[in-house]
Amino acid sequence: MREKLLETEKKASAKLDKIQDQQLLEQFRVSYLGKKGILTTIMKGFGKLDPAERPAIGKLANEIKQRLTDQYQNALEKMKAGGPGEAISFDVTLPGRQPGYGHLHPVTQTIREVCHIFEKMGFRVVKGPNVELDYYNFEALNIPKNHPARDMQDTFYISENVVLRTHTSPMQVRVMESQKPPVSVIAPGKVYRRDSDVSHTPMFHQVEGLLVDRNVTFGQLKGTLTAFVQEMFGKGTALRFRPSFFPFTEPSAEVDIACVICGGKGCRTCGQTGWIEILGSGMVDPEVYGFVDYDPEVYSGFAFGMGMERIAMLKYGIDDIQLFFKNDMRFLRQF
Amino acid sequence: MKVSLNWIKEYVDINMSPLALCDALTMVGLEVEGLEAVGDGLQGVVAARIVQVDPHPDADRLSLCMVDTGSQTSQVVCGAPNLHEGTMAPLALPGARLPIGTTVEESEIRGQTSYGMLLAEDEMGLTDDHTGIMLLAEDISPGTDIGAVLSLPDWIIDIGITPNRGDCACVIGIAREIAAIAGSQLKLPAIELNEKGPAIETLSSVTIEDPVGCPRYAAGIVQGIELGPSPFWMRYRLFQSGVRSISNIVDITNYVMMELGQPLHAFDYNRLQENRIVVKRASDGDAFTTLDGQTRELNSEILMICDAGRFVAVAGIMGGLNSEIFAGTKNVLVESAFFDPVTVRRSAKRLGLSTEASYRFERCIDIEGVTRALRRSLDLMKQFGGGEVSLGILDNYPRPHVPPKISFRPEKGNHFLGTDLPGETMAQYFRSLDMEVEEKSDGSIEIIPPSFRVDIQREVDLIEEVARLYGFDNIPISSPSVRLSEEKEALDLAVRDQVRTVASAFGFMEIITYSFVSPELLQFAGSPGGYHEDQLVSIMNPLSTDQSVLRTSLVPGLLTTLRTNMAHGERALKIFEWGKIFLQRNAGPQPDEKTWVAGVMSGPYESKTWYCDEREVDYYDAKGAVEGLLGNLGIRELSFQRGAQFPPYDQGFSSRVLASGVLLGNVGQVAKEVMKAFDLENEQAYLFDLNMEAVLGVLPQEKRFQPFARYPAVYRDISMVVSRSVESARILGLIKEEGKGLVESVWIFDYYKGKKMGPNEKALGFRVCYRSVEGTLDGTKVNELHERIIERIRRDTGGKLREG
Repeated sequence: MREKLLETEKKASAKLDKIQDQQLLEQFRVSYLGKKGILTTIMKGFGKLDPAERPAIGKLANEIKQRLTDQYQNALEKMKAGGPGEAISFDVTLPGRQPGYGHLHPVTQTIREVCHIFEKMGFRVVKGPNVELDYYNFEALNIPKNHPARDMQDTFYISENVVLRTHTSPMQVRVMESQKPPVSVIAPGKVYRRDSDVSHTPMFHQVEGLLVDRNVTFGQLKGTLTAFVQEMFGKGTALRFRPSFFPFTEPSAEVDIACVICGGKGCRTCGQTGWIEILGSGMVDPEVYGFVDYDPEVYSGFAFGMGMERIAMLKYGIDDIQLFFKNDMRFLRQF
Repeated sequence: MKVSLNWIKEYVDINMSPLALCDALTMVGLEVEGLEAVGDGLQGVVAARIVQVDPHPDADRLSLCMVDTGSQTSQVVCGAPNLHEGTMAPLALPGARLPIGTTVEESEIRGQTSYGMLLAEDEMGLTDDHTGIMLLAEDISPGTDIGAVLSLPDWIIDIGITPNRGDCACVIGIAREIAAIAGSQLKLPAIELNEKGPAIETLSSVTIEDPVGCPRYAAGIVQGIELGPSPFWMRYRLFQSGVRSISNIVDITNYVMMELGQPLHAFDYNRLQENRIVVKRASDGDAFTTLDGQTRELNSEILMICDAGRFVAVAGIMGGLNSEIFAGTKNVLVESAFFDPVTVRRSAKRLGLSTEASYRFERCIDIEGVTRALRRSLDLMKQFGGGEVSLGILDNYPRPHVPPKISFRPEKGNHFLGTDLPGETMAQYFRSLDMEVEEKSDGSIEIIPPSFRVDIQREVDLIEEVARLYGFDNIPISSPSVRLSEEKEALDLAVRDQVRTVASAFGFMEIITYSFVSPELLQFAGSPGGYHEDQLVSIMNPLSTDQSVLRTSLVPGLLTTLRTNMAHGERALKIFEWGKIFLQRNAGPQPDEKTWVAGVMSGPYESKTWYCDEREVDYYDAKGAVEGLLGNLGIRELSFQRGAQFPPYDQGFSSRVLASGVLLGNVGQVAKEVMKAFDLENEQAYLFDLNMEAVLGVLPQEKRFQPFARYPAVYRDISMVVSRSVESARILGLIKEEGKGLVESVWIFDYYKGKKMGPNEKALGFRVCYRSVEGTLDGTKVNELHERIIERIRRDTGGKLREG
């Protein structure tokens, strides 16, 4: 009888160890520990034992029942606490209940990034009208009527003296008109040119920058824009300042960066030159100071302007400017 | 501008590779936009002598030529009209690849073997000439490679000329710039006129009636010319520069323009009435036929070249049909003049006519170079037109050039650039640019720029020249010490940024659409607050009528984007745009520009997933977005009033959004006819729009901390059955009003209309949170208040308590 009891305990205990499921556990309880369970059945047979043996066997049987009960209770508690059994059936890979999220337009993201870099340098963001007076868009920027420089930008006219601004540069004049130096501003916004083909859209975005104070030099223009390029396109991005012409800056410089596609070796994107133009800049022309009553013998400054779509195209590897305004979700979702 | 490197090399020695030269030009401001090797693509084309020409036995238009290729004599079939025995011509041997894309092979043409192909100039890509096979000098040995015969291998450099550098719109100008960079000498073409004709004063005269428009007019005459084609080398260069070949006389005027930058015009001397020239303005209503055959209406701004009785050319732009060179021309009067840039530009704009000549006059040519260019053209006409040059030239120069004298301070230059260059270095730069330099005792330098550098007028222009020649890349970089301005950043910029960030976090995709729209869509798009037609802002010169009016609301962009995305299978769409709308609501020249944010939702709010069923978006989704956007900004007390007064919305299923009595915008379903106008008749969409200016106006001025309530809250529910016309907000208002002081918050936990209700009834469940700031609430007191609230709702709305 003793052997039978110990054998039963061994079997039951091993079985209990393997149970990973609450239902099986309940079956175990019924079949071993229940009123009609195996242990009870065995114990009912005690009547046939030698009375001398009975107390010792009885004690053992009770001990065994207690041990198995304890083991069962432990298993039950573990399982209720989410033991290994529940954990296995818990699917962590089912998709979560998402609140859903959208995306900011890549142009918005680019404008933010550019503005952020200049804001860290101490520039302040300003905004101005899209529908601009010819005076601010051209005249006060030293682009008189009947000057060939007007050909540089095809213009949408609202009336003879009102245009859709062709660049954000009118903000230079507006800001200088409204405050005295020191001036350090950036002006992001929409601009318009009467031009639509594979590489031009009639509306696009620019960010303008202007810094005017005492003792501002061309070297500082280079320093500021070099810092910007390195932050925007990565430390070590090669750049060059190339003489150019804008009626409202003198000297004027266009800034090229080493082609982001080929790294400067020459490819289709950069027209085999290894360089990609990203912005125009220059020292503010004294003529412009004349319009805002700044003394060019006291103050000097620099200005720059850049197209956001172009920067976004380089940054994200977008090869078609039209995509920015088609607003295809398959495009917008990528940013 | 495209120029041949070989041509440039005639005027300046270049010891750089083409690539290095391009880089150097780019870095002094003559941006090289393209570099192309030409003339080396003609492998297998040799000079061959035609030794015998026979008619093709089976084809009238073809000939059989025996050609000597140097190593053998073979038969070639050819259809050209100019085949003569003894002629030297280019022959493509079998295997030769032509630039037009064909590979020449030995072939049979109408039963006759053709060992190669005799070539016209266009077949070799040299010019556009296809009048016959190209004729080569007869003293060339047969078999010589064609590239060597014609000195074809060359580089074509495409240079972007900025508007201030009209002086570089010619080969000499670029050569001059290279000479300045390289420190070498410019070699101008020698001119030898050998004048044998009569004195020019006996032949013609020039009268300038408008010296403002025409400060200088020079003319020369060549008599007895023989009109014909110009030499190959000239046509080749013109072709490479994009100029069409016309005749020797006309080609020479173009050639000299490309060479020296001076536009010239050749008149048929005999077709000029009284053989003389008068320069004056046209009158309003006059008309004139230019040599392109177009009759153009003139006005009193347009400067004209006339003979004794009529117009013969539009000054600086284009000649006239009535006096142009034609097959019978024997005597030529060549015009070389300086026309006022503004006059030419206005005329060109007025006539809608832009030419190589007007391009150069607008940018201002070299007034002192007028007669040199004239003499150069007369020389070439004598050489290649076979005529005799009359003695002397006419040079009417009523307003002689007065060069500016500019004082330059080297220390100012250094201060401006951030450099430390010695004054002598700067002076040397100026000299290399052909400026007259005088160093003054006070350390300053007095500069007289050459007449072709009209862009140099001020000290700052000279500073730019120093920077250019020193090299922008050599100027040391430094950091500005930005002194912070006292101006503050506008608050609205931060708010607008926040609205966009929150909208995207809510699941809306940001779009950017054009500010101009089709006027047809405006009646559906409307404008918040309405507008009169005369407040619309139209573009005078739109790209198309679809983009001719500035938008009066953001709705067209949103709905158009909805449609295009649905067209390629997107179903669940939530999009928004942030931008300006334009209306002329004031008396000033510029319209009002107001910033709005608007969004649209359509399709399922959520697709069927493992945890929920699909649900279509509705009014409450759009409303929730508005509540969330404004709530995030701190605007939480909103009221929604039935019926958006804005055309895109369905009046019955929309509302106005107000805060503190201020209208902020609208939210609701898009009206059916509007959906139809955007080809969305089978869809439903919900819209919201917010006026950012109004939103900024109701923004809480400052945020203040409120201590938390210290005593426990008591919750009680009310379930009411009311008429469907009773709005929930009204009941909420009643609860708050009646329970003022103790009702901390109320929310609606249930809304039911259906079988258990009457047809005009709905059930609403409210959970009321009672709390006092003074102490723990007494249950009886709460119950009493709760009962009063229920009674108040009953009385005011006619509702009853819901049973069960």
